[in-house]
Amino acid sequence: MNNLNVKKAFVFLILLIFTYVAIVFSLSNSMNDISSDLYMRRFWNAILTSYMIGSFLFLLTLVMYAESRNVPFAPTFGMLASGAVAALLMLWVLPNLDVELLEGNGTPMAQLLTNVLRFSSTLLAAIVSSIIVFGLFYSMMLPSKLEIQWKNLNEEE
Amino acid sequence: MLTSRWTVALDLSRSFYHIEHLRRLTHRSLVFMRVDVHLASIRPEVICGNCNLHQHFGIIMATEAMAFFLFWLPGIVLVVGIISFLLKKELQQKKIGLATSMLCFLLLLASPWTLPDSDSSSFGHLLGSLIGPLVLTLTGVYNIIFSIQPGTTQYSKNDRIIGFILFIVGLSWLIAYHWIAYTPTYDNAVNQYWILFFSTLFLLSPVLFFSFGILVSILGHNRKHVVWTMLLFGFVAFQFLIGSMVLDGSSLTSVEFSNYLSITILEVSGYAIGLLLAASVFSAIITLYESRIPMMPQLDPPNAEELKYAREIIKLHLEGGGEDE
Repeated sequence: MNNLNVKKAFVFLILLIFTYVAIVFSLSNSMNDISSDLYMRRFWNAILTSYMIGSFLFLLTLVMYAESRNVPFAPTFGMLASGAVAALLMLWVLPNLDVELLEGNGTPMAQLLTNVLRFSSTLLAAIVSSIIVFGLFYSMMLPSKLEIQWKNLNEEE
Repeated sequence: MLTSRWTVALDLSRSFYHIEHLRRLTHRSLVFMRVDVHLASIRPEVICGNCNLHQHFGIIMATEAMAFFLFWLPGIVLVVGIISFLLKKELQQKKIGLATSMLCFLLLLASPWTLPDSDSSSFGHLLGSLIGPLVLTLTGVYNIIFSIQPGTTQYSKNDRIIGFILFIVGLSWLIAYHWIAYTPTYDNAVNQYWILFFSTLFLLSPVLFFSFGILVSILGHNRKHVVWTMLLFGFVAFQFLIGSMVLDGSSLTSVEFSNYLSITILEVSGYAIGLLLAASVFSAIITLYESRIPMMPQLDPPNAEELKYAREIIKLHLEGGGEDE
């Protein structure tokens, strides 16, 4: 395995993911009747929610993991501020600027809670999907008993 | 001045309540909702007739607090418990993390009964619906992995067959939810979190199979059978996705599924962008912090005497039979 192959694999992977998403999105989009406004609301909600949750998870990791360095204050505060910025944007700044982010919920807080649950559902599906795919892949990559016996036989000869 | 009954109702419900909850409140609350436009001008006793307005405030606030203590707090503790279980080094802390996580998970599972009026309980309902098929599927995958080399582990060849059966039954159960019957339905509608889960699962599985297949084809040696099998699995999973867009399910039409799938694609892309942004900010903050830490004092290179001492120690270790042994 050399660096060129790794780079090639990475580029192929990125291309594959983009092509796949484009194909599925075109197919599903050709069959539906959703307004672009709803799309954009969901998209921005998703970005803000995952940014906020991601920041708080990194913060939690920092607090748990940085014990050996006596939990440095500056980065902990930095991540807390980073997550709080997203929360403030969702709950206060954007509603006050008349940017419409609500989807069937009456308040920004209710929307935020719905977003968190939607994020959790997506995360659960991603984890399950990864375990299934990686599990099957790993079981195929391991040499079977027959392969091991064949290899031992060849080595003896 | 509050202008609509929804505004008033939501203003009362504040944070731990979703708009749809209010449609499921008791008849007394509904009476209250119909008249709340006039809240500013009519006295509470007149509005509610024989029931007290303060009682309604009490009902909503109590449900709000219940939602916090029975759903959101366990949810937060669950995440902290899992992270604690994964990252803490001491066994005692790991055990505490695991125990609290399990307790909180049970509370989330019970939310359709403990919080029947809350929309959040739809997520608890989803967890309850998924627990059966996921336990079967994941146990199946576990058995398949660890029984690949019978004799080298405690698993036998039969365990592998059982693993395959469990995996297929679990996956069929999930697929049957969509196409055959028993689609997770909560409050007389298909659970929105189930639709999101299902569409994400069948959106991500094909691309993961294809990715692993391509990675092995570029980086692996003598693994053509793995490449072809992964591509085949990916193709089958992709067919399920296309099938859901073309054929009606037991509770969702193909058009409805396409709608949800388009939204799911945007949503997953949004999550990926948001998480990347959070990771970038995290790495920037850590880099900035580390760059400001004063450098450790530089030591002088070892002199001849120190090098000689080090040589002796290394020699002692390489030859064995030192004092320590």
